Amino acid sequence: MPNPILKLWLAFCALLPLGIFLLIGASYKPPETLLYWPWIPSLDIPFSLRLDGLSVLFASLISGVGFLVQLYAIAYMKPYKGRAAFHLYLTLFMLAMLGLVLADNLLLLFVFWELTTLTSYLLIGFNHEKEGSRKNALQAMLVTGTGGLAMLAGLIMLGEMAGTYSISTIITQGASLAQQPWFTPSLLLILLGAFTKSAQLPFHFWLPGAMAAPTPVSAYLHSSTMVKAGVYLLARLLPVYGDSSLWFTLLCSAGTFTALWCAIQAYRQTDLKLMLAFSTNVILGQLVMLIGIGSSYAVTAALLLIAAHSFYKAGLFMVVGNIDKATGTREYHELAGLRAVLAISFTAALVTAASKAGLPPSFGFLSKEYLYKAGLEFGWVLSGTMLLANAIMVALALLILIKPFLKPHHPKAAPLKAVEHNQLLWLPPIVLALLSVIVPVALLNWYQGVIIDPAASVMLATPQVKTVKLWEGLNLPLLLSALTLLLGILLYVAYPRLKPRLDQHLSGLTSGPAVYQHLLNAVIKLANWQTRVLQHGHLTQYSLQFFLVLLAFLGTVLGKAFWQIHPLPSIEWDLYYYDVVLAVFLVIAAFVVVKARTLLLAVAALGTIGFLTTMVFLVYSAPDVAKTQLLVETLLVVFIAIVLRHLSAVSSVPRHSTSRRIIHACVAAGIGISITLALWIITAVPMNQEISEFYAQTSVSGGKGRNIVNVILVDFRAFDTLGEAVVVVIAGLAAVAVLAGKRINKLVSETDKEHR
Amino acid sequence: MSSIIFRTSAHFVTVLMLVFSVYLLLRGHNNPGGGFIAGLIAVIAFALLMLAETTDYVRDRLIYPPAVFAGSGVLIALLAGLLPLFFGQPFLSGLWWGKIGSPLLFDIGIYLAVIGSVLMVLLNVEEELS
Repeated sequence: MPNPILKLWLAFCALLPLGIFLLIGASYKPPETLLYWPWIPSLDIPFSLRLDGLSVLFASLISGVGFLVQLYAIAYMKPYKGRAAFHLYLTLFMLAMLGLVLADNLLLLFVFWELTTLTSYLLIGFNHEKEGSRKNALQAMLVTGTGGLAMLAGLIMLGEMAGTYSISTIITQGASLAQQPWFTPSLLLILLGAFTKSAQLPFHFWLPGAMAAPTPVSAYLHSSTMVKAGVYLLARLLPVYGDSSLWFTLLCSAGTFTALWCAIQAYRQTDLKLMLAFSTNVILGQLVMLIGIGSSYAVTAALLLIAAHSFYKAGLFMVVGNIDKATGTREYHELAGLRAVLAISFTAALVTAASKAGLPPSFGFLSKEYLYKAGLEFGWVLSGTMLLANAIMVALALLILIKPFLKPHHPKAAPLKAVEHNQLLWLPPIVLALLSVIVPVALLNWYQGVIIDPAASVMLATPQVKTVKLWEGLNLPLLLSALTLLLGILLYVAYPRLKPRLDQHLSGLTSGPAVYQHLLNAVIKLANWQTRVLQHGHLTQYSLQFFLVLLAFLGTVLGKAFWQIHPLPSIEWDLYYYDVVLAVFLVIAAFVVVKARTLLLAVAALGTIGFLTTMVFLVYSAPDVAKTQLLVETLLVVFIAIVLRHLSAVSSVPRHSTSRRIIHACVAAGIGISITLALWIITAVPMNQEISEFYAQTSVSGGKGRNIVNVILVDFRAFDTLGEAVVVVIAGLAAVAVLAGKRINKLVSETDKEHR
Repeated sequence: MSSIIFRTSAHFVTVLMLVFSVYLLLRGHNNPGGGFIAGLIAVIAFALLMLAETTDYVRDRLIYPPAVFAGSGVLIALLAGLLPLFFGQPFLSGLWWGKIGSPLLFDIGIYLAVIGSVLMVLLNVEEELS
């Protein structure tokens, strides 16, 4: 792409999210704004958007963080090939995400849900020359795509139960759906979709795998967008399912297990990006748990944590991207003394890591306080596990800050390169760091009025909105926060001794990726097996298979009909001499085909059958069908003549074994008898003339043609004809490709021989 | 196939069959005929020419590769379907100006698609085997 156009494109990609951000701000009037355009009116699927506290929170994070990520990517992706395409994918992904969170129709939401899966596949697999990158992209797509399909089934059940697919209407119905028989299945299926998307145990593994993507992708997908889609869906459907005890049990257990397990995993990583990836899993677990609790404290905590995590995690990912730029590595052990070259990034890292660790007065601190408050309402188990997970977060924040940045540069460590002359590399993380402090300190009232209050009012059946305050005096959650910090520092100090021990104990466990790989291999094995069995390349077997299936089908249908129409209707024999002559010749020709010892005779006899069939059509006055049949038969003979001219080897027909001939004879007889029977039964019932009469009457008036067959083909049923024409062309191309493929294979094997 | 009578007469017959195929195409709406049948006749005409001469000879006379015929045929049929949209009617509705209408355009598309795809296979089979 020439330079000015590329610049224009990059500017467009960066400014589009900003424009959308402002547009959302302008059109959102709390508590909710509904926008409506017809889309598929015949199926009653409108393009309807809903702006309320919840969707605006997500949409503004997606567009706002999207703007910063686009800016960051302009600098980060500079040396990459295909950076214009990268920004295109990123923009498409952002639009799909926005559609997902704003959609007010379950099916519209699903369409966007799948679009995020597809576009994230392109983003995760952006370094497509690397095998690992392709594999992980596919893994992310298969895991989230499978969940998405399950979710579609769940959404349809939900829509049918509620009698509407409009989300606004469904959430006002609230918990009244609980008595419906489809309630529990729809709940389970939707959870499957949400858990795979939001990387909950046991589907958590695709998220760290997706770190194969370039860092801007991780900063975007794994902070505020893709992985939060599941959380969004759960939050959206909280009014419907929130009262069910199954919801509470499943969400809380999945959330706590994910948070705890992934926190331990994050602690074991040495790649800074993987540490962040697993800690994203932790936050997702906490969010799922909070939505599972569904109390007003929990909802408030979730609404705070979503924004807090987006800011600090996107910022930290960008900082790690800068570390990668400056040193070429992200390995914990190889990094030291980065403060010298990454002074501004260090500032950003300091603030965002503080938010991650939950130090006051950061946004992370605020959300953690409310997390503890919500957890304490349900006893010590939930808040205890959260405390442990958060302590590990503190340790991780310290790990990322202290050694890479502050330890003096070691001669063995990776060489450092100054990269901060490019403002776009440090400006976005600094903005995110500032937001992490400014929002809780100065904009909390605004945040409460615009986001929390309207969101809580749609998420909760009986909204008792909590007024969020940064400082609420000395209380139990504050004590827990202090305890978290203390434990986190201990874990940081113990890291050199504790990590090897953990590795020793945990490495033997069967992990998610292994199970996924087993399943994938099994699918490939199954595919290979069925290809071997069904696609063996023997023409005789193919036709035998086809006729056996036909026979089974006809047999069952006829068997049923036989008992209903008993005895068989009598036949009215009004025969003319030419009917008999045609029939006799057809039978003779068929016998010749079977008994012929040379291929030429067999082909000639087969052609005779075709031409005799043409005669039958002529006798029953269907000239167009007769003509087509005649021409197709002619072409068939031409084709076979060409083959015979060149391949003299196949000119004689081998005599097959008796058993084989008996089997074939039985199948042929079966088909013949059942077709005869079928025709017998069908013609006994007077034909419904309605359709043919409709065509006969409307052919001239509606289609302006006297040839009914042609009018049907090009006017009444032209859509079918168009489809058939496409099929014909595809079949032609495929045949040519097969022929050329043989030639290419020959060419390849010949060149192989030459090389040897 | 090398008989002089066959090789000479094939050229005449091919031309006659092609003219006949266009005739069938145009009359199809009111009398037996139509794009599909006409297309098959044209293919048989070219097959005759191919047997009398060579595949290269036929390709040379076609000017464009058969795939182009096939592809443009589908596009023309699609265009005939899209045309009514500009007149506020549903996809593939028939539009008529006297005796000429969009169904005829559609049929021409089918005609080309059939010629292109069958000829594509025919020429390739012959080339592959010889």
